[in-house]
Amino acid sequence: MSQPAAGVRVTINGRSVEVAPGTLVVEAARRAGVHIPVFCYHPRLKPAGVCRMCLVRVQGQPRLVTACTTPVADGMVVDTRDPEALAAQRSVVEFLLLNHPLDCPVCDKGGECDLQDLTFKYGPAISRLADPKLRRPKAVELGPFIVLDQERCILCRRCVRFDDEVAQERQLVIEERAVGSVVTTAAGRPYQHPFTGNVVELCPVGALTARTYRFRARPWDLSPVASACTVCSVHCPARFDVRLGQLVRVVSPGGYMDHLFGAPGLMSAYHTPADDVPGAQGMGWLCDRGRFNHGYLHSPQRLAGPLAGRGPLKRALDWEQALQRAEDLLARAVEEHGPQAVGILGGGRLFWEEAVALARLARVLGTPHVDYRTAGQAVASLATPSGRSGRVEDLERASAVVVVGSPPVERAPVLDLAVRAALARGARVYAAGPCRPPYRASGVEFRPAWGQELAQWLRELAGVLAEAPGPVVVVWDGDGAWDGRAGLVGEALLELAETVERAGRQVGLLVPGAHPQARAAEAAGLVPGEGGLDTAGMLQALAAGELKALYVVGANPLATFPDRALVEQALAAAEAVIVQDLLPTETVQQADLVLACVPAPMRQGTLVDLDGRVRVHAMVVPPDGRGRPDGEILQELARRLARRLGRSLEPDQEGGPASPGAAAPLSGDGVAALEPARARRLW
Amino acid sequence: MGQAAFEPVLTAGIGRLELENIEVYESRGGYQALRKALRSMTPAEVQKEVTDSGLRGRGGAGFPTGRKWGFLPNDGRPRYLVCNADESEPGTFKDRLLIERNPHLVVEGVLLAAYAIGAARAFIYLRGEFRQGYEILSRALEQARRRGYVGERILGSDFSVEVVIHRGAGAYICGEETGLLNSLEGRRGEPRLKPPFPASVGLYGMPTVVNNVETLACVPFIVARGARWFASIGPEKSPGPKIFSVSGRVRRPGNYELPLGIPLRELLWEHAGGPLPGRRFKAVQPGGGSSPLLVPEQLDVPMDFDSVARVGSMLGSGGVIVLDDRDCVVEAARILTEFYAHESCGQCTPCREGLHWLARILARLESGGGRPEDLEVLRSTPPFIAGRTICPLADAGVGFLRSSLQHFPEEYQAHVQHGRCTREAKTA
Amino acid sequence: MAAAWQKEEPEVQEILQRYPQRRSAIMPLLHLAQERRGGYLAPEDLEAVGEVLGLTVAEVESVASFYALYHRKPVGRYVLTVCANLSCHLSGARELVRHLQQRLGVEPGQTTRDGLFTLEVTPECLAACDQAPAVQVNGYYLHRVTPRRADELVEALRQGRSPQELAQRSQLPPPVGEVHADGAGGL
Ligand SMILES: Cc1cc2nc3c(=O)[nH]c(=O)nc-3n(C[C@H](O)[C@H](O)[C@H](O)COP(=O)(O)O)c2cc1C
Ligand code: SF4
Ligand code: FES
Repeated sequence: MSQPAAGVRVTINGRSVEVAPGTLVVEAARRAGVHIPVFCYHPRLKPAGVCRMCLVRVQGQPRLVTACTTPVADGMVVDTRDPEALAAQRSVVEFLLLNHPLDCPVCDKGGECDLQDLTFKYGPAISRLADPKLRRPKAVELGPFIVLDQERCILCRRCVRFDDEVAQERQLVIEERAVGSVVTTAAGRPYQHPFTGNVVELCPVGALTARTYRFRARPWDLSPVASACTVCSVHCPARFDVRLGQLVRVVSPGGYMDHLFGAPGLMSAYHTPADDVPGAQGMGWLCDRGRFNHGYLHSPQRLAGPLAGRGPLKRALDWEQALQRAEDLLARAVEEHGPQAVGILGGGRLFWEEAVALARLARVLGTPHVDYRTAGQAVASLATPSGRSGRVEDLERASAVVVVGSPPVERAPVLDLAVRAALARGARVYAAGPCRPPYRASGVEFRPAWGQELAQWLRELAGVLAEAPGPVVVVWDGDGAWDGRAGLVGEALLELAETVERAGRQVGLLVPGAHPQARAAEAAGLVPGEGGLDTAGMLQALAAGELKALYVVGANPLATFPDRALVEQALAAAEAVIVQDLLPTETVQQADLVLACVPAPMRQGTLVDLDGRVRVHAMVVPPDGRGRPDGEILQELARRLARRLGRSLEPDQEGGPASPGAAAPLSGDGVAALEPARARRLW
Repeated sequence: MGQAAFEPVLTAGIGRLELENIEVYESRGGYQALRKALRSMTPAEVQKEVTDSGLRGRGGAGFPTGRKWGFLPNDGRPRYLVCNADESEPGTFKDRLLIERNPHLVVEGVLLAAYAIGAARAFIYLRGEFRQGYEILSRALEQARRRGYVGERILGSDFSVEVVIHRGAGAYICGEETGLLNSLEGRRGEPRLKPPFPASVGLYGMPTVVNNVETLACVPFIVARGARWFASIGPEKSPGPKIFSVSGRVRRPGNYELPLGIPLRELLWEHAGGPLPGRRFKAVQPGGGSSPLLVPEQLDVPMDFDSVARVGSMLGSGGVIVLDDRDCVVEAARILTEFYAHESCGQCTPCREGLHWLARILARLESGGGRPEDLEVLRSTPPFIAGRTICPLADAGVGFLRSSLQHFPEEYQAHVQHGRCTREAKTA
Repeated sequence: MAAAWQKEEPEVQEILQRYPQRRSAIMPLLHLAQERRGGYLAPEDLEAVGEVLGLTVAEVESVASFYALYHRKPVGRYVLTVCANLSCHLSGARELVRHLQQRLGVEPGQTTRDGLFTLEVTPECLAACDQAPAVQVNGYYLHRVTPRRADELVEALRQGRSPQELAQRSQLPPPVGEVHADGAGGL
């Protein structure tokens, strides 16, 4: 009897489809290739049935029904072109337009607006309104990123529902009632949390706009690029909208997608039913950090080219000079003090191929001192060799989530949405660390603890989790910085995992870590080799004069390493400091030589997600002439140094994918095997 | 129909006796029905008695009460009873009368219904404006509690129920049962999607019965006197006593408790005293502000659920509003449409936007700015508001407008043509 | 400003006990705050409700703003609410409002300068249609309020009579033949 329930057969506009029981008519129609217009419906939100746009005829029912709230029944016959249904849809558009302003020409949403599209397709030809439209505030600053035009709002409540159901922040609400209803936050309180940007995408009209995008472009001027976000280790699939070579906005795939790609549906809501959302987390939401923090990309702050000279006053070099200089500095250190005199810090942001190139450079130099963990993190690989590497989607089934260290929202915000969803499902969250996670839901237990106490707490928790009704997921920030004793916590975690597994429960470990590409860096070998020093060790050795030259790649230890004084000493003592970076960071200031590189969106390469999945990062905007791609710099240096030091340049044995999209042979070194099917479906 | 023999029961004694005093109430047989039920009837028997009586809900929809109680699933979940005392239907003031003048009857009805359905707790959702009612009902409840009628092990039986009065705060839509439940749960009083219905997923997601004050007030009499007695009053399909609230242009506005099925004409002339001197009835809403109007030729309609529905209106709450030849239907339509637009919860597009639109047009028409196209909008739009929404407020909001356009098109026309109402000229 | 009530008070605790789920207490807690504060809710009151019930302030505002009886701005000591629905309209509610406007020197929604009276006109039917036009003073009913009676009432309130004292209760129509003292139904 426990076999999966049989499908239900329904006929929609004469087309027959079989769908799972419980499927909503609107979804069944989509599967049948029939478009039902909607405003309030969104596949990733609970049905609300308020806009009344989706009224259709169901044979045998006395009244029209809303397709977005009606589940299919076997043998159901639906007609969306029934004259009464069409008239009802037309009337809803007419009603919505009554008080909707006619500012489409200056509206950000013009061209990708559901109301515009549906007016065209379903609406009345003329306006019968004889009275003036209601006037309301037009540029309400809801929060740091979001602006509301109350006149344009059609009260579909998607934003409010998102804030309640998904973000669970309940900051955005409806106030007043009837025609006076408005979307708002509490008086005097900004709309502020890590996921606010999603409401802009959810808004079917131009009522909610992003400050970073307002009046910057018209949709038809945009070239969309499907790629992935590189801000944290989750690597959410995202669409990057580019205008005249400039990135103007980042949206989640399926947000505005079909408008531009002309895919089946007309509606934003249509693009991605939950099961089709590509991406590890399967949620299709983005965090504000990934969505809005791209200002640096086209910022004049960015380093234009190589620079020389320690301190703030630097001299510009051309690339030939700079590479020659780098070669000299590194070669001299090796020649004068031996290969062990060079240390390499960073690389936790590099694409897989670039990380491989950096590891190769280390081998050419002959140094084992390589470490990407510039903030002093624990070994993120904890999750891998034990074979317990979790998957982000494990959170969807978890009955208990253990949060160790700082809340996931700080390292990988979007993971936090999955934890919130788990809470909403009734899962329990056990958290311990320096601060309470920001969950409003009940079901959270928090203990302020670190070090020994944290390890002890984990040991006690193991017993509780062994009784958990379902799978357990541990999210560890992977950070040892706050107490310097990650080893302790790591061991306790492994112990916990073993205890829980012995009790027959599944355990997954997720370690977002501080570096978006930690897994790639590890797989490429950007960790201390035989006899090699880790970050702290290198800094101490530099300060002690045992290490002479430091090569820093995309890292700013002055700002991120917990013991700043040590970094200062180390940099001061070093004979040569070379920094490869985008922006004039503090560490860049202290460099003898600065090699300007190129931001991730201007490069392409392979990403390894925190849970070991591999995906291709497509170039979003072409390089703008400032800096050179990291891979190129590293390869060039390796080539030069190999010649100079008389080493043979190894062939590409590490086998980094020659072209993005090819499977990266990452298995065997701890990274979960590639899932080509899923990864390919991405892009 | 036994009208001659009819004696009011729900309102008996009001005005003469201090029924709000529990001793007075008891001295007239009050709480005897509760005693009887707890001593000698199982909950199922009470429920059967109510089913057999043919009692239909007095809150507006006229749904058979016993049947409603029977819908509760037997699945062990706690059940709730909610007494709908949100009376806000325009032209309706019968529940307020019972609450202010016969509160123990309401309490006894609540207790009996709670017993019949096995409710863990009963709530009386009392209209926020009924401040006096709140004070009176609270006192009555307190008296009843002290007498052992409310609380643990009532009258020594093993039936326990707590009764909580919950005050509304000014929203007509909270009379709609699912809006009421949301409000009672501490949310905006927005009606819920149905299904699921409250019987299976109601208050706090539990099986819930919502009944009107007057409905519940009938129950003590049904228990005390028997289903047959109740069923013998009025028409077979709509039996029992009913309080009709009559207001507007009659000589004697007020609440009249009469058997269902009494002809509207009789109610208006014999009880409410007929039209004011020198005036003629013009239009009557038989069932509150939501009901389509009837014209003088229709006044013979028997005032029961089915008969009034048959002539294209509804018995609704039994609030009868009378307009006479001096009154302007356009103005009345404007007032009612504005009311419903104001009370829309705002969820559904047609209700929120449509009613507001119509109200604006009517206001313009009334003040002389009408245009011929307005009539077309007024006529063609209501069908796209009614029947298209989550709850029936939208239907209610266009009931009067539609019927008045049908019966008095010339009055609308005149407003457009002359920029004002011409009815004085007509009647002069 | 402090909230109008404290969580520890017995009255607040009693309200919280009434319901199987805490959230239900939002309306009684708002009523209590409004009563204590003299007819309106201050931001502190909304915050206190949120805190006690585990709701965001936005949620509390969202609920409070749905209901017409919660005021979020200060009101006069006496809120006079005139019913403007159909039956009262037929019995002269409009004239009554006009009269009160003149008499008090305020528009609907405004408060007299001495802070005594707020004039409100409600489209909601006050369920006193047989006693039209109906007015409520702070929730207490006044029946058949002709302009003359309105003057007397305003005067009485000014003299310090309480709304409770003046309040009228619903009643049945007098037996046939008798007529209401002040003339029924605008006769
Ligand atoms: C807009 C609207 C307002 C309503 N107002 C009331 C009301 O004030 N009092 C009431 O008892 N029922 C009201 N009802 C009916 C209730 O939804 C519900 O049917 C009734 O309380 C059930 O009780 P009954 O079966 O005893 O009649 C209203 C319905 C609607 C759609
Ligand atoms: S019809 Fe009106 S009142 Fe009813 S749910 Fe819809 S918007 Fe709210
Ligand atoms: S009511 Fe179905 S989409 Fe809005």
